[in-house]
Amino acid sequence: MRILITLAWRTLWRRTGRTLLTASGVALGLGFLLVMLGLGDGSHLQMIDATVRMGSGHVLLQAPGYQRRRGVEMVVAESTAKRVMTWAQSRSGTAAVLPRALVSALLSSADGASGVSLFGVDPAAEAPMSRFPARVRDGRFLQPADRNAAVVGSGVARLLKARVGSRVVAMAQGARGSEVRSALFQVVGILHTGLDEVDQSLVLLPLRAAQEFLELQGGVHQVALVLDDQARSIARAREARLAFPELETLTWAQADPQLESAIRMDDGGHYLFNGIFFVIIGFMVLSTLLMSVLERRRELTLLGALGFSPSRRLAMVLVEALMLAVLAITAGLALGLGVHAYFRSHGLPLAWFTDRGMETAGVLLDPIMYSYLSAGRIVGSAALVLALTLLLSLVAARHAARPIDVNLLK
Amino acid sequence: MLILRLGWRNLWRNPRRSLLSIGAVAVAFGVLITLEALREGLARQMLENGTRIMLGHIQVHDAEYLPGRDLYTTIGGERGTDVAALLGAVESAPVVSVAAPRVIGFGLLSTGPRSAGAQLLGLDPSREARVTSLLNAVVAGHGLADAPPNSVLLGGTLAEELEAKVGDLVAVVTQAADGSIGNELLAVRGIFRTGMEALDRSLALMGLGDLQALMVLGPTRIHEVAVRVGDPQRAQAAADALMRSGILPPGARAESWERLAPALVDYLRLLRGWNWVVVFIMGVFAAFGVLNTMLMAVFERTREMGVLASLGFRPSQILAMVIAESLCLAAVGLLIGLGLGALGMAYFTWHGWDLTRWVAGLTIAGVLVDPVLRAAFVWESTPSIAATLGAITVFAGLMPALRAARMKPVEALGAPVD
Amino acid sequence: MAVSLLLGHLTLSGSFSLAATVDAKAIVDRVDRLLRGESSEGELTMSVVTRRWTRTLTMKLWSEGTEKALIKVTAPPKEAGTATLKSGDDIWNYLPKIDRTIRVPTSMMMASWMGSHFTNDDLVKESRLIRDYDIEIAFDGVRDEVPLWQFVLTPRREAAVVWGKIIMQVRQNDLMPIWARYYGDDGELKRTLTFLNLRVMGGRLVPTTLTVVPSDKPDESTVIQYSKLRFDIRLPPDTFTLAALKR
Repeated sequence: MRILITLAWRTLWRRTGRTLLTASGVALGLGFLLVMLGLGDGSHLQMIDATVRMGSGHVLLQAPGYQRRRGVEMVVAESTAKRVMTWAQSRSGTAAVLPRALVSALLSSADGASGVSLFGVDPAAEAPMSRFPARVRDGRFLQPADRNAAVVGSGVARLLKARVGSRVVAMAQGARGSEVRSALFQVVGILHTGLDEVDQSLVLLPLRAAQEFLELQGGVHQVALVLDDQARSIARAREARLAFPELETLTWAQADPQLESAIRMDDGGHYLFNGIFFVIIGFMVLSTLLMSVLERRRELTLLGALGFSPSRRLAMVLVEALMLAVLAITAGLALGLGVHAYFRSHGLPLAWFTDRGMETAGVLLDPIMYSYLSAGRIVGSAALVLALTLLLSLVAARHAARPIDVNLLK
Repeated sequence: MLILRLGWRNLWRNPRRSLLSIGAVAVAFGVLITLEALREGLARQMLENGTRIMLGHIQVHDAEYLPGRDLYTTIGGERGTDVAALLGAVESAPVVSVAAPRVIGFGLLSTGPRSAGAQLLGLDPSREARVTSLLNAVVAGHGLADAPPNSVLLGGTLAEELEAKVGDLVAVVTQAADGSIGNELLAVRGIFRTGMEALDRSLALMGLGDLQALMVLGPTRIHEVAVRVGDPQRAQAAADALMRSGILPPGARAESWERLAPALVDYLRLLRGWNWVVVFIMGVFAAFGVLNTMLMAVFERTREMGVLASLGFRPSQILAMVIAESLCLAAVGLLIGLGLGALGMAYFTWHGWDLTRWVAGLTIAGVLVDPVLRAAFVWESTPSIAATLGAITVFAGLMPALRAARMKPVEALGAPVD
Repeated sequence: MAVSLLLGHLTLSGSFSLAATVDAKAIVDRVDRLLRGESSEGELTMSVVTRRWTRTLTMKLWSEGTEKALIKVTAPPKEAGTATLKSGDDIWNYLPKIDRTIRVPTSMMMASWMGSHFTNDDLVKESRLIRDYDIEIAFDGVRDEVPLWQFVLTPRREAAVVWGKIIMQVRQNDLMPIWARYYGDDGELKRTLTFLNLRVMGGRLVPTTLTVVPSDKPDESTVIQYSKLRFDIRLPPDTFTLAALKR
């Protein structure tokens, strides 16, 4: 065995150029695969994250039927809401528990009026989680001490000619009875996300103010749970359904099927791309290995004449291929992980491709894509490339095991 | 041309090896052609969906009309314009297929128990059906063609909110142009679903004349003309031509989807940008395959080249010979790849790719995505892709060629022969 | 009523330093309810001038307290029969042509009422000035030989009103309002209400002409002209019902 290994190693380095060429091809392939996977997974996580923080959380609890109808009177009572929040906070892996009140309302100033979506949120819980504080263009985000502060989208502000400090009056249907409720708010911040649907209709209020305004009596419309690990969403939702059968529980994918579609379509595209990739790499590896074997017919025949059995010759080629693969994969991992590390900390600016914001499934894509690779992905990719290489080398090695042709010795 | 023939013959001295490399080039090229076709297909579908549902390829408005959509800012100003003549003139312009007039208002719709604000769109049914697919999206009841006066089509979600069914009466209230409260009872003739929530939730369609009467606008007054053209890529050029032609009433402006839907434009640009990245990457990998072959070829024939050199062949000629071989390799590969690509393109154009499982209801850049992706039979980029691949391939062959040319004859002669 | 008359006397004697704010509040409240009383019945014309059209409507009006009002259009014939009922915070419109009563939803609260420069919200919020605003006297003296006060109304902390402030000028002799100016919270004048043509109607001195001029479109206006007014009459109990809209 040792002879085989030594022989194989020396053979590899006899043709330094060729070896390096093939190895670098495979290495590049693996590296590229890792980068693509990383950016792909990274951008998906970002999209999920964006939706989760902008709206549904990873798991959403609300009154039954609320997803469909969103009636202001469909309230989760205060006591139930408290129980939900306590329960959620006691589970491990909970990053945040966000109670929310929502209603469609009319917001008016002395200069104009506009239909808006009011979100009553808990500033203390929401601020560290939400992406909105970072998008406040003028003024500030909501703070726990706020009573009747409002943060409005830039489009809303424009229509109402509102600035930081402006008075605005909100009018909406209350939860009890059919009378119209109105309340005064003061603009403390103006938000700009670049997404029209948000900027032209979003208004954020302190939860308590919204509850009072809508006569919710301490109740809320939604409790959103943000988890540490997105992958636990389904499990957590299941637990929530068991614990609170009287409420409607949704995962982010159920709350936002469009987003899920977008991610799956993106995934599909990636599988296609990576599939093609593998074909090309495979082709290349096979051609290289085959050629390598073919050109060494004389040498292999010699070895055969010297007493190397067909199986030994086969083994030698395989060991060679294995070494090459290991070399290439190491290089590929180094390359891929290196680039991934850069994209993980610095990100890839979308500005390379487009100079405006990009929207898909109602979520504004982050202007910078960050890479994310799980251990599973890394090991899986390397394993796949290794398996492919070995499989193809088996095909090539068959040639090595052919009976010797003495003519070649001449 | 002796060099070329030499190159060709050299290529076939080791058929198996050459075929492998040719295969690499062919597969790369074939895949690229098919991917390009799919990408172009997607781009066209997105463009179609983005413009077909409601936007149209070109829209004509008074210059002041957008974005405020003031009801008084009709085409041609307060006097309006001869609508029939305008439509005829627009349609006579080259590239333009059909023009559809529209009146746009905003009103309150009310059934007994419920009421909701809605955007009112007054249409000419026969023309509109040829420009957009709005009137083809009816899922219950009938369309507007041959409808009795004061019929209305409601968006699906709007109908739900109003708890209105086909046959119900809906009251509409709006600010009329003479300051009075325009009001009317409309019969729900049908319900439509475009698949775009924003439209289904807020749109009510009615006859152009009906809406003009409701809003007390004379027959010369319309807010918008939506235009369909033969080639969407030439829409902006057509819009510019319309503006220059003097056909449009004073103060009116024509704009294509490129100006009206910038998010879509960005997305299409993104799709196109990506494609060249893919071409480059595929090219690099094809090049690797070729490089291998050429290195081996040169190595094998070192002795032979030494003979040639001692026979008086100059290094540049030896270089040329090796490059010729690369060229032939590239050419055959590209040719076969062309065939493969054509097959792939044909398959996906004819059969399409069913992505329904992944894509139902998805919007990108505000446009609904088709569940079945159909490729477009396009050859425009093929020459440039071929050239790129060819260049990379030949370039890959350059390195071993240079090595060959620089070898000293004495060394070469001493090399072992396989 | 008696209280405000009493306060009026106090004011005339000039010694308001003690209870100045109470004075102001009572006066402003009186101004606010000048045309309402406990209940009222009247006829008026409303002329609206905009850049694009001019309309004149003749209407009949009934009110009770500050929370109920019924307005019916009697001319021109095309609009006759159109009616508006206000009850508390809700407004309903009756449209005779289609024989339908429609409740004005929240989303339309800021829309113009009957095409005028008043909004539906104005109708709802009228006569609530002292409830929603703090009042101070900014000026007390003589202008153009007329002794008058200028009151500054600033919204109360939680009052759901959009105005940053309202300035009102009131004559001291007869407590008649002269004008009221509405400002946004950016300090810009947004609209001006002017009170003219003082007459005695229904036993009271009242301004019979009200004009509203928006500041961003000074060539537009809404003018309300009362031709008849009766106060504090007994109105049938079913006056302010939805059924009454249709009669």
